[in-house]
Amino acid sequence: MNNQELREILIKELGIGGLPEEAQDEIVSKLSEIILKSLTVAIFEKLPDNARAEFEQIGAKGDHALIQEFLERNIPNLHALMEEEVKKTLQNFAANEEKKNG
Amino acid sequence: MEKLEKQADDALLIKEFRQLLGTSPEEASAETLVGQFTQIEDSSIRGGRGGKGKPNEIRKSVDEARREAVRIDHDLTRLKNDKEALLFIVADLRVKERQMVDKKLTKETDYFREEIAKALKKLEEINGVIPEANISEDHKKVQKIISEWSSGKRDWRKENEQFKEAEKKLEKNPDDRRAQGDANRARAEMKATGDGLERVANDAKVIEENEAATPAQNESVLYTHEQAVLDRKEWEKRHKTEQEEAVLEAVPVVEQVEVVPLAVPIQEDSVHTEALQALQEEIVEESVNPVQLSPEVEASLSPEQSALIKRCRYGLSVAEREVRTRAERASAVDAVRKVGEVYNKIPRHYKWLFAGGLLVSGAGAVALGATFAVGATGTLAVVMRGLGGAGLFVTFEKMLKGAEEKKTGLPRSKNAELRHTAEASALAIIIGALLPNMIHDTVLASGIPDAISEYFNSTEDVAPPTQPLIEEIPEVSPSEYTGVAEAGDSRWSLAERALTEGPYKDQFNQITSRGQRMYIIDSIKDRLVAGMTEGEADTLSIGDKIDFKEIFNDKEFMDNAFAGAQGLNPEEATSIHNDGEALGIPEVGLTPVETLVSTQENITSPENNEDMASGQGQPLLTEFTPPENEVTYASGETVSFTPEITDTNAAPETNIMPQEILPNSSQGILMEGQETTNNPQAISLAKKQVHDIIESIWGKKGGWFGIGSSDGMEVFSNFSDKTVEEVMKMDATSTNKEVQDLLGQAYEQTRVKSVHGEKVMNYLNRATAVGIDRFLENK
Repeated sequence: MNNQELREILIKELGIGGLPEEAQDEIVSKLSEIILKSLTVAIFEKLPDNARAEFEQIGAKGDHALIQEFLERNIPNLHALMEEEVKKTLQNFAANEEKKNG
Repeated sequence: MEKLEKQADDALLIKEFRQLLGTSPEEASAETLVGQFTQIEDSSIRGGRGGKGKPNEIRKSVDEARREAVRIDHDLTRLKNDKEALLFIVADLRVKERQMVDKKLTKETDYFREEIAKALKKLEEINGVIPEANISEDHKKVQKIISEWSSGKRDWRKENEQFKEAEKKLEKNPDDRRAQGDANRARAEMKATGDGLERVANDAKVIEENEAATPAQNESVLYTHEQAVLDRKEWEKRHKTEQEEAVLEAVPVVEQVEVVPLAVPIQEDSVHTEALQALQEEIVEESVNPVQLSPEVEASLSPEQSALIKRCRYGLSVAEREVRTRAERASAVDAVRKVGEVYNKIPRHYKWLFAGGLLVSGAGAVALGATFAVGATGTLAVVMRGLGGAGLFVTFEKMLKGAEEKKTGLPRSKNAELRHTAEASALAIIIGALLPNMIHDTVLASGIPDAISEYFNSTEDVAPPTQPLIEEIPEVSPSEYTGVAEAGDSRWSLAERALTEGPYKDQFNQITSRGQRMYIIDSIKDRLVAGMTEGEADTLSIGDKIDFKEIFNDKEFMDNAFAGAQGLNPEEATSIHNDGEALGIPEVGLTPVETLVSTQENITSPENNEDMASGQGQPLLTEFTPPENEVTYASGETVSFTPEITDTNAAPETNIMPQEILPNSSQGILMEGQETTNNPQAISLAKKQVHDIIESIWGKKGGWFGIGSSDGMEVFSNFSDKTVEEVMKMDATSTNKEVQDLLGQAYEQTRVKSVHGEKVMNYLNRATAVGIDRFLENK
């Protein structure tokens, strides 16, 4: 598996094979950005107000173990949450892309 | 009831008139007051104090006047809000008019000019009603919006050109750090400019929200919220023309993306409607700036490509709008902005990997295929560790791994590893962006190292990293060990010797489970043969030297190997043990207790692996009764489960395996009555082959990115713990029949018989391995 191979797989999955490379780059880049932002929002949605202050305090300490403990305590199903967010964004994108097509 | 109401009215009037008369309750009796009230009432009929009219009528008139005042106030607020919206619309129309002029589209230009004139006329009407209207202020607002918009667009184009130029340089020379810096800078500037453009586009949304927030203002005069709503509807009915409504219906997209619809009346079913729709689409696309292309590329697009890009832009726009709305609700706008800024510092070619990982995370590895999952993990791990911050990445990756294994009770699969890699990197980017102190020691903070660039830009197949690329990984002291091949050695046995005698001997020799030891040895062996051709991996001569220094110095790799072994549950460890026994792997370095476990028991235990491991399992062949252990395959052939070895070169009837690995000899190694092989390459290929076949039969790819897909291995897991006999005796329902057919095909193609009590997965792997080994031996 190399970069080109990965690229070809993703292009096929996204159905953007017929587009110029520049457009493909932009679409993939934007899609990833939206997913990342969506994950960020999802994390914030799960955090209660008091946990946000604690989050910043932990950040100031720069301790990885603390942040891990914090996330496990406040968002125990983090993996499922992330999967869900990715799916949601992709479905939203695909549905609207198709809607536009229709 | 009427009496009560009358009393209440009287009481109210008495109170009011006490105030009018300046009389306190202590100073006048009710009778006196009533008398005074009557006089005043009578005088009011004549016009109050010196006037005419009844008090009740006056009171009603006052109340009505108050309600009217509120209505007027509400209408004025509405007008002011409408005026704000119109100002925005005028500004936007002017921008579009300029675009049409630039494109030399006369008809469209005229259309926008007409619409501007209509909007200005409406603006004048509103200004005529609003007392404090200041036209010059309005023009300033319009001009400000236009200036911001035009300037932003100009800047963005310039930055985009700079970015493209830098990217071109990078493609020619990925090591050009100056170009990398230019690209990053231009990207960040484009992001900032794009945000500015969005702010301008969002002005209308703010206006609309203000408008909706206008409350009912004076409950004391019984002007309820419901009445306010009714009034508003009435007002809208009076002011909105049928044409406006038609336009709004024609462009539902406007509401979805929260851009204020044009309130300018236009003619239905005309070129104007189409132009307006096109305009709205353009506003949607430009306002969120999802896919910006260089003018050359934009100009070169075919109609089909343009249509596809439009669809993608729209899908991305809506997705992004939704995220933004959620961010506003969750008070996470600033957090999202920071994450976006960090993400935009990532060079484009890295984003492909990031995207791949994320998509697999959401859609499941089936979407992109098992090959992708296995191959991409190594690359992703390297790149994401760099992008997301070494320490954070490692922390989150371990966290996800731990949660997965705790949940399933099984070692993490390759697919799960890939998902976790992508998710850990995403988490690392998010946390790193929000808490900069967390990434002080990472690549993200200091720039992408050349090592990663070189690695990533390589066109070579991906292999695990040979050097730790991240500073955070603890330094390890050089650990040297060179193995020298002796008679009978394989890479596997050399790896085992290196572990028992080399720098990790203390750690390794403490492990008493043979399955765990084999897991680690196998990891080392896999690393040794990575990147080798099949021939190279099989070739080892007496006296050949194998240097383990690189592997042993890769502390993360070694840690993972040991951690993976420790994470095996007893069943997994036993299963690995059994595989090793079946392959005739020597018992080097095992404790006496473990070596007491008989080979026969381990290979052929019918039911319980724990029993096998403890030596309590039933001997394989002692209970064999031919009539009960015969099954009939799809071809109609009846086969008994027997230790008897059948040497056959029968040609396969169905190609369950690729032609190149079909059996053409029977050179498998016999062990305790069953045909098997000790060729690790054949075993490895067989496992992959069986996995792929199962996925091809029961895996479902689904739609977009595999959404709605199913994992074939999960479907098959209902059968993998059953014995071949059990499955062949099941009712031939659809899935049962498919598994029965699969077993039949495995037999027909390999002529390898199942042994009594052998589990389905074990049989498939073994038979396929024998078939592959025959092919390799004879090629």
